Amino acid sequence: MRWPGTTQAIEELVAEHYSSLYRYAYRLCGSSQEAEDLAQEAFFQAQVKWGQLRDVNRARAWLFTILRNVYLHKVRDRKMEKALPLDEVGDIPDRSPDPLPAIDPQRLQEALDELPEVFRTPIILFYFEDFSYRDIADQMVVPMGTIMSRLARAKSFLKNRLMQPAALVAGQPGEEDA
Amino acid sequence: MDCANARLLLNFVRTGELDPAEREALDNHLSACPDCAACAQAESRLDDALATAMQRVPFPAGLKGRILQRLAGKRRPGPWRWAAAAALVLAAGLGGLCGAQQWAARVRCAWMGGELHRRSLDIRSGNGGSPLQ
Repeated sequence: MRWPGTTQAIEELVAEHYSSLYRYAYRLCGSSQEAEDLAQEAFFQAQVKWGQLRDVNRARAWLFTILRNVYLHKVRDRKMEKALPLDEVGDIPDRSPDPLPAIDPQRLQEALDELPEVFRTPIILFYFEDFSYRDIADQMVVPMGTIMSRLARAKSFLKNRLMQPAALVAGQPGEEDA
Repeated sequence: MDCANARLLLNFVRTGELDPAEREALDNHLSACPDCAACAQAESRLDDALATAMQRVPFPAGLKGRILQRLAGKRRPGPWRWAAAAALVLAAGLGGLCGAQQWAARVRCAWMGGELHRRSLDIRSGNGGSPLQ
């Protein structure tokens, strides 16, 4: 381990990526306290594994992969992952309403929490961090076609959940749908 | 380009994974096909709405400082760690010293035992001389 050489590099990594890593963690787990723990643990592991980062330009994807692994370990340890069965996630997206209303971020989180992690992760990365299909496939170690299929189904699921009247922002009455 | 191909390529517009030729072919198709153009617009609006909502995450104050603090805490050995390391070195040194003394005593005893045995054999064989010369 090369502490003196890596200290500055790690601090720069934190400065550049801590906010996006935290937001990713938050969308992944849905809790601010847990998201902070995940972000801290991810940076700590990055510090320990610094020698494994071969290309500094890939640091962001590397950090996101570390954070996801930390999250999956926690989920496994606590058996806390709760989500719909895969076949209930949805199919090909339907046509969106026109005009499209704004989406309540909290309702978005509730819908994300219902998705199995293998669907939740690609859709967060796709919308939140603008990773390419290839990047997401690399991070999740699955073929690109699988990512495209999961994204289409996850998007359809979110649309069905969020385009219902109770999911829309701007003081809509009836906060809970059936 | 037919509609099926156009709908497939629409998936790659947001991520910028179309090469210039594919992008041009898609644009040509969209300008000629109102159905696909409407689909592209609807998907783009949905993508924008989801991306906007996705990024609206409440952000805790002081997070960066806490992360750096934790990393520094794990990195730099605190005073108790220095004390523990010093105690370990001292214990190892003392242990080594005691061990060396015991080893020297054992060698000395063995040598003296051998010497006494040799002298007693000399006396028995009549070579004379004091056993403790």
